[in-house]
Amino acid sequence: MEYAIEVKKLKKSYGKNVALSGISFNVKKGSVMGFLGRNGAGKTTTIRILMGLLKKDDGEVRVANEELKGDLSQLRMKIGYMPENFSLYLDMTGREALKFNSKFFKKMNEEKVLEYSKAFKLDLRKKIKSLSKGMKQAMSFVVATSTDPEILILDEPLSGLDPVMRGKMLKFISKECANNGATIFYSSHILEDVEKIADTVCIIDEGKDVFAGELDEIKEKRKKIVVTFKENEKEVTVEELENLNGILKAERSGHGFVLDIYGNIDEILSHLENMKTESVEVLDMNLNDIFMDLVEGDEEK
Amino acid sequence: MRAIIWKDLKERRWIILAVMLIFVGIAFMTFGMYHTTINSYKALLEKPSNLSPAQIDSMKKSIILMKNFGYYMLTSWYEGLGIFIMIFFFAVLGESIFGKENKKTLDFLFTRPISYGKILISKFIAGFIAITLGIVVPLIAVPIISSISGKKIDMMIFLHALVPYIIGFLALFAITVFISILTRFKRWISALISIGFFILWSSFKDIFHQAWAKSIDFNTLFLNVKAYMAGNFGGYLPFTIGIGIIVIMIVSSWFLIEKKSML
Repeated sequence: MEYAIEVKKLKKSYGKNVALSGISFNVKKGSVMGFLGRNGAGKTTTIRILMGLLKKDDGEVRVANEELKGDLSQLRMKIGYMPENFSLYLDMTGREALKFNSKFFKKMNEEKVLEYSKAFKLDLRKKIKSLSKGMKQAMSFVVATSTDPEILILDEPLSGLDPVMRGKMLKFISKECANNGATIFYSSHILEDVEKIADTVCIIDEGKDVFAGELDEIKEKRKKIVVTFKENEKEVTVEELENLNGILKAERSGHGFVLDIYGNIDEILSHLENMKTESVEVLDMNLNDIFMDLVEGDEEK
Repeated sequence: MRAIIWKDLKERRWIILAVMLIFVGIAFMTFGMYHTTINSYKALLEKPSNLSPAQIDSMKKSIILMKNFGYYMLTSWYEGLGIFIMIFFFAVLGESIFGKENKKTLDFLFTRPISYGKILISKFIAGFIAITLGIVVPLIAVPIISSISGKKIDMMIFLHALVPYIIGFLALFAITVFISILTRFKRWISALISIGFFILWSSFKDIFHQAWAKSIDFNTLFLNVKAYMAGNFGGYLPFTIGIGIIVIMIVSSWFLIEKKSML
């Protein structure tokens, strides 16, 4: 399988503060990966390392099949980057910023620029400093995508946007992937948005990777089961349930139990059936539930 | 690279213009002071009975030294009021190029397909051009004022004497930029260290001045341009050291950014 971004056991510390303690994930070429984590989880540090703005302490990082060593100017020809903190020159107009950017890449997709700026109602003749926060974000996105990058790295692109702008940007992110074959790696707090467009997710917490893989796979394997057992049978305990393969956590709820599971649902159901169940209800979890569960679970551990 | 240099200069056009105007103003002010001093010395020397032999000797030497308005201009300009403006100029310029406020836009540049080395060189070139425009261009005012007032100015001596100063300022700027990277963009630390450097630079220059002044007669000093330069401006050594400092600062700044990732 061809990967656009490969990260193995990446470590980074700022003095005594450990920002990343060995995270690993791969981003398939032409896919969308949502990079999730709480504030201070290490998302921006990871992105800055991917962009060559920070040096890693240890581990392996490959972007577009190239190791991040030496002069990265050729590699950067393939990358469109939208930082978390707005970084365009405020005294430039939108058009000047695009022209300035195109001087480094020696190309600009004028048609796309017009399409995106029109959709965002972005006036390219205005000075960037006079734009609202949302419009600045849109401007930053237009600049990042204007050179038709192979890899698009977006750090919190949707923060501060109203629902309409968010919807448009999500549409364009998907379009970059579907029409241009770009690989998208983007960090976000807005999990419902990630769920809409991401093929894979990487969840990190306190510098550790909690999960990295297909979104469908985790949603298929990670579920909740509400189960009750027949009363005349031997009483089932929390410990007994947690010892079963695939059950991460069991909690008493009324007459029954709520189980957090990760694994093959049929196998788990068959184990439960052997314990004489009275009722079983399998609940799907959305990304928000999964995220909370993984992060809070990690915290409890 | 041209895009970065042009953008930097365009962004800082107002401060460059302001410094140019201030320095033209100082040139006029200094010219007034120059005439007042020369005339007062001459008036005093007309009645030497009121003065001690040491005072007479000192005034005569001063008049010879101040014979050239260009020289007077440089010493009073760069070692007087002008230096404070310049330090402020360097602090603002150095900070605005590699400063904390500019860090976000630096991230923009550092993520474009251009090497760190080229960015750094572009920034230094932009800074050097800004200094040259802001400080050197107003020097045109000196011969203009001289010609208006009918005083002749020895341009050769003036320009030769100017070079070590210019190199000194460029070195000072290079140090400001380097320190601002080293101290992670804390502008006032770099400005303070730059002031320290300037004091050292001036002292160093004065040591040469004194050494030459002892060995060369003032009356013959002006006959030899090279000796004049060496006597008053430390000759070629500060020039060489200045160039050396600029190169070392550029390489060190590159090392901090490229190898140590001090962004």
